[in-house]
Amino acid sequence: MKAVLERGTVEGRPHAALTGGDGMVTRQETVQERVANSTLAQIRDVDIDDVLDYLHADLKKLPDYLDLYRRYLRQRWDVYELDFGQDAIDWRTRMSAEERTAFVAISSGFHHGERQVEVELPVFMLGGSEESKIYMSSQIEDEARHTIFFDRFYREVVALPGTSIQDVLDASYPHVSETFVGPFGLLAHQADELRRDPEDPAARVRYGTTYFLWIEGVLALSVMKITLSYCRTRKLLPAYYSGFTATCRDEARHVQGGMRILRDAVQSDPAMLHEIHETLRTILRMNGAVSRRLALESLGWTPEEVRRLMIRQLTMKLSDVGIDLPPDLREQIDRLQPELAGG
Amino acid sequence: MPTTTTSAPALFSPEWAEAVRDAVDRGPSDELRAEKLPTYWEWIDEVRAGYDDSWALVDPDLPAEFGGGPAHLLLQWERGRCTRAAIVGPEEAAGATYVLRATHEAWRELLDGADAGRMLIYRRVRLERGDVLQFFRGVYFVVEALAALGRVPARLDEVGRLTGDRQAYQ
Ligand SMILES: [Fe+2]
Ligand SMILES: [Fe+2]
Repeated sequence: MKAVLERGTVEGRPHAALTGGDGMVTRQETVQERVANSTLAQIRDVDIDDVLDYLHADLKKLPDYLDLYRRYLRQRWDVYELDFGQDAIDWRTRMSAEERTAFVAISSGFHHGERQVEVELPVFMLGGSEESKIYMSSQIEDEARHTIFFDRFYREVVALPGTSIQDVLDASYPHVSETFVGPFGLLAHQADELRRDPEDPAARVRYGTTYFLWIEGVLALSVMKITLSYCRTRKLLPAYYSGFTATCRDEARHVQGGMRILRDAVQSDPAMLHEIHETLRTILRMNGAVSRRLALESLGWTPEEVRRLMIRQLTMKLSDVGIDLPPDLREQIDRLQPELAGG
Repeated sequence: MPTTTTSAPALFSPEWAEAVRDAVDRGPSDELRAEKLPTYWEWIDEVRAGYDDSWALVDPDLPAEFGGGPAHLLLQWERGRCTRAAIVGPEEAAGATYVLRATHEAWRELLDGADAGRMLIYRRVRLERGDVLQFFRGVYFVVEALAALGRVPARLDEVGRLTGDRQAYQ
C-alpha cells in the first residue's frame, strides 16, 4: 500500500516530496503552505490548481482524523464575512446571458448537492471510531456552511426569490438536471440503509464510495475547477471565487478523510473492495444518462475536456489509495459523460 | 397540473391500477420526450428492454373511505412491458423486487405534479425494501414511471380535489 501511496504526480506536475532536495521543493512547499494557511481574504489570490495539488499531495500520506480536525479548526472561515456586492454587479453587467445560464445550471447542482451532503452526513457519524466521529462533526459544519454559501450567492447575486433556505432551494431546483437524482438519490437511500445499522461495514463503504469518492472527489472537484478557472480568467465574481476556493480547501479535508475511510475498510477486510466496485458500477451506469445539454463552451470548456477532467479526478484518487479496478469498470470509466453537481 | 377530478377512479381502486399500468407501459408522449435529450430516453429504453422486476407502491395511511391503509399497488414488468397492475395485500406486496413507500400526503403531492425525482431525493418516496444499488441502476426509468403515474387522474378524497398547496420538502 505504501508504495502505491507514494507513486505518481500531482495534477501532472511533480510533487514536492518526489522532487528531491533542490530549490523546487521549497517553492512547492511554500505554495502548499500558502493554500493551507490563507485567510478568507488571502484565499482570493490562491489558484484552484494549487488547491487541487494540495488535496492530492496529502492523499498520499492520508492524515489521520484528528489531524484533519485540527486543520479544520485552523481553516474554518466565516461565510458571513463575504461581501457579494461586486459579484452582483459583475453578474448584471459583465456576464452574458449565456454565461449566466451555464453558470446557474452548473452551480444549482452544487446548491442542492451541499444541502444533500449536509443532511445525509449525521447518520454516517453514528458509526466508526471516536476520532472519526469528532472529525465528522467538523465536516457536517463545513457542509452546512457551504449550503449557506450557495444560499447567499443565489439570493444576493443571482437574485432568486425566497425568505427561507427551502424557498431558495425551490427556486433554483428547475436549473438542476434530471439526472441529479442518480448520485444524490442514491446517497439519500444509502444513508437510509445506514440508519438501520450505522456500524454495518459494507453499507459504510458503499455510502463512502458515493459520497467521498464520487460526489466529492470527482463531481465537486470538477465543478470547482470549471467555475473557478472561469472566474479567475475573466476576473469575475470575487466573493464567489473566495468562498468557493475556501470550500475547495475544505473539500481537500473531506476527500482525504473519505479516502482514509475507504482505504482502512479495504485493508481490514479485502472483501470491501467488492462493495466499492459494485457502487461504482451503479454510479457509472447512471452516469450514461444525460438529460440536458450544458453550454460549457461559454465558460471556456468543451464537453470532452470536462470528461477528461472527471476521469482524471477519479483515477487519481483510485490509484492514490490503491483501489484496483476490474476491466469492466475501466471500460465504464472510459465512456464517462460530463456530469456537474457536487457537495 | 392537478390530476384529480370527482369522476376519476379512486386512488388504489382496480380501475386506477389499470390506468396506471397503461400509462407506465405506454411511456411519455412525444411532447414530453422532447423536453429532455434523446440520450436520456435511450438510456431508459435500454434499461427497460430487459426489465423483469416488480414494484410495490405503498400508501400506509390511505383514508378509510378508500378502504384504509396500508394500500399496495403491485406493478409487474416482464421484458420491459408492464403486464400486471393489481391492488394487493401486504404479503404479496412484500414479495415485490422493490417496495416503495410514500405517505398519503406525499401521494397527494405526486398527483399534484411534484417532481418524482425530487421526491426520491428527499425520501418523500422511499425505497423500503429491495437492493439499493440494483434499484438505482434503473433509477431514471423508475422516476419517469412515477411521473407517468402522477399524471393519471385519480380521486384522492371525498372533496375530490387538492388544496393546491404544495407541501414543503422535509
Ligand atoms: Fe464536502
Ligand atoms: Fe461541501
